[in-house]
Amino acid sequence: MESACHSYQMLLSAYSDGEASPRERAQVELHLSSCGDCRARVEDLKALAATVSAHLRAQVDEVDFSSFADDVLKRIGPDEPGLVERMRICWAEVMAYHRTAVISSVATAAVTLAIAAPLIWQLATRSAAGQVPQVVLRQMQLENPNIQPVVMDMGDGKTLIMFVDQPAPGAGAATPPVLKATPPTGGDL
Amino acid sequence: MELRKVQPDDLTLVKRCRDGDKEAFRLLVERYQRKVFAQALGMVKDKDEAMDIAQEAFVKVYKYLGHFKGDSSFYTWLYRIVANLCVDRLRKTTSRSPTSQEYDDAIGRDEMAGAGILSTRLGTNPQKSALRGELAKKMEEALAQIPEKHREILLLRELEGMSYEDLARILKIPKGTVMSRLFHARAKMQRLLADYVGEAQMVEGLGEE
Repeated sequence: MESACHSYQMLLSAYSDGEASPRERAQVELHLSSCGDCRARVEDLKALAATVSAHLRAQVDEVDFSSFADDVLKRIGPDEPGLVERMRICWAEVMAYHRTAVISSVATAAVTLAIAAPLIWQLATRSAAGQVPQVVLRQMQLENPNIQPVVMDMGDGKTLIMFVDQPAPGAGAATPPVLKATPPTGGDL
Repeated sequence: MELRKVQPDDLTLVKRCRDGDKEAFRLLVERYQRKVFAQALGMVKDKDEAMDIAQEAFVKVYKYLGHFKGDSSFYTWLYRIVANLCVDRLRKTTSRSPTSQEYDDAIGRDEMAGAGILSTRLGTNPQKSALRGELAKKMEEALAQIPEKHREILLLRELEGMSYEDLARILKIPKGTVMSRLFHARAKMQRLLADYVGEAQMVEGLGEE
């Protein structure tokens, strides 16, 4: 084989596939115009491609694919049930094996709700009406026994600390307690 | 006038499959069953095993459809599944040809057979009848003897008619490697078909192996 032909061998394969770049194609065609052997090689490549293609197609054509998709679907099996169906099955199983526990839990929850609901309702309506529930969180004893700080949760994230000046024992009930209120803090105690 | 029904594209079918539409899945299977089988057959060389792998591949597709991101084509994704299944299967068998391990794409190892011999003997339009006889047997033997990589690329090119660009993408190799690999695959096939086309005529032009 001529050395020039040798260098074109690989390119001939791409050329016969129509995959050579325009520049390569021009080079190959120039060479082919003067080389009968390489023209024959291109014909060989086309013959081989056609034969391999026909052979492979014949092999595949021999196979019956009529039941292929059904066979695949059989191998996949039935679909997994959807979320609603899975929940229904789960509920049925729970009721079958834990009926008593489920009923007693539901009853307990109902009683708790019956007690808690009016209280929650009452608090909610009071808040809605602008009556901020005030809850005394802490009472501290200071060194001066006459002053007792009272920390109150204002219910709106604020805290009120009041220093209640208690009358000394025996001072008589005539003296009213002096209240000193600090401005509401940020809510941190 | 006959109106041809427009077939939904792969991504539409994939989306419908994800929504639980088994009919869409069936369409995908029917669209690719031949390709998948041919690919598996090209790699494992046994029809029953190829059929089993092809079906298993679609089962995996159904199971892992949620993992398909859509950043590659559906066929590329499917091709990879089939290729992995074939490789797993080949690893388990001991019948793998030792030549499949020895391949490299180095330029110049293969040369085409004597000029014009194949085209004279085979023609460019082979009849199926010819392929059922001696030639079919020789082709099968030749395909079985070439390395796996060569068989794979020949199959994709000659059966699927894939462009070099698609081959590069699906095989994850540079386009230049596609070109050289196809060249080596064809050169090997030509040499292996030497018996059929007449050994005496093939002596000229054979290079070193």
